Amino acid sequence: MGAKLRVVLADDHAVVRTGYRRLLELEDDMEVVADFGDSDSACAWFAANSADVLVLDLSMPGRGGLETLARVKARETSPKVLVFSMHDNPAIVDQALKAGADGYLTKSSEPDLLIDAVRRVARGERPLSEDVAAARAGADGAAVHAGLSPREFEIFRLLAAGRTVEQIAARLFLSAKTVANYQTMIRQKTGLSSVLEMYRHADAHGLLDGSE
Amino acid sequence: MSIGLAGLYEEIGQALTALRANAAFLLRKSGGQADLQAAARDVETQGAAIDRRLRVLQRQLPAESADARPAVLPMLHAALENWQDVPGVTAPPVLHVEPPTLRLSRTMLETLCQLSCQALALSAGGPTLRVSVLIDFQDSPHLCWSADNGAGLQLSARLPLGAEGA
Repeated sequence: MGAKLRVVLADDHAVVRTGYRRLLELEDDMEVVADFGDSDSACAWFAANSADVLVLDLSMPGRGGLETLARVKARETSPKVLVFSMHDNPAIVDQALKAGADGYLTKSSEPDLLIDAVRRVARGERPLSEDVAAARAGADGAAVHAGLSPREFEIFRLLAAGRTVEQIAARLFLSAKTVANYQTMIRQKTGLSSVLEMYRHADAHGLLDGSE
Repeated sequence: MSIGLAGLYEEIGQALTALRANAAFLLRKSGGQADLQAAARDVETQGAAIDRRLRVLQRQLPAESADARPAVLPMLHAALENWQDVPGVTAPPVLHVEPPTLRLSRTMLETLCQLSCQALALSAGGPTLRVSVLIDFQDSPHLCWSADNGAGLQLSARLPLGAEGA
C-alpha cells in the first residue's frame, strides 16, 4: 500500500471535527494530521506544513471559509480542498468552486460519501453531492451576484448584513481603502447601490446564513 | 431568543452531521454484533430523515419569518444612511447589534430606527455617532438601545420585549 493520504479538517464545530476525525481514521489509506476550528489557525498551519486534502467548512469564524479557501489554494504546494458545508445555495457553491475548491459536499450527505470524496479529490476528480449538483442545475446564472469574484462576493455578503467598511476591513485583514474600492466595484457590478438593496437581494437569494 | 431560521438550521444541522458520523463509526466498529449494527444503522437513517425534513422546512419558512421579523443591523444601517446630510457629522455612524443576526418585529424595529435617527439629528458636533442595540436578560428580557456621539450626547432606552421575543 502507498503512503497514506494526509487529511486536515477545518470546521468550527468541534463535534463535527471529532466525529469525522474518528471516522476517517478507520480508513487504512488516510490519516488526519491536524484539525482546526478557525480560519487563521488553518492558514497558519498550511504556511509551515503540507497535506493532501483539506476538508473545509465554509461557515468559519474570522476570515470565513471562502477567504480561507482562496488563501490555501494560493500556496505553491496547495492541498486539494473538499468543501463540506451546510450550504447548498448554488451561488455559494459556485463561489467556492471559483475560489479553487476541488469538490463540494453538503453535510446532508451520507458519511461514507465524504470518505469517498476525500479519495476522489486526491485523485484529481471533482466530486459534488447530488443536492449540490441539482441546485446548480436549477440556478439562476443571470443573478446579479453571479458576476462577483469570491472576495467581492464575501464583501457583498458582509455589506448586505450591515457591516461597515471598517468592520469588514478588520475582519478580512484588508485596509479600509481596499474594502471601499471593492464596495464601489460591487455596486457597479450588481447595480445595488444601498445597504438596504443589498440586504433585500441577499435575503431573497438566501445568501446570508448568520455567520456574517 | 431567536437566532433566525438560518442560524437554527445551521446549529441543528451541524449536530446532526456529527451524530451521523458517530453512527457511521459505530456501524463499522460493531462488526459481528448484529443488534448494535442495526441500532447504529437506525440512528444514521433517522438522522438523515431529520436532516431532510429540516431542509424542507428551511425552504418553506424563511420568506415568512424574514418578512415578519426583519434583521436589525441592515435596517438600522439603511435608516442612518443619510448621515452625510447632518451638519457637523463627519463620519458614518458605527452600529453595534448583539447578536448581529438579531431580528425583531417591524414595530419594534421602527421604534429603534426612529430613536437612532433622532440621535443622529442631535449629534451634530460629535466626531461620529455610536449606536448599540443589546438584549438584557436580567429580570425580564429588555432591548437596550444607546447612542453616544463622543462629544457629550448620550442617550439610552430600555424597551420591554415581552411577547415580542428577540
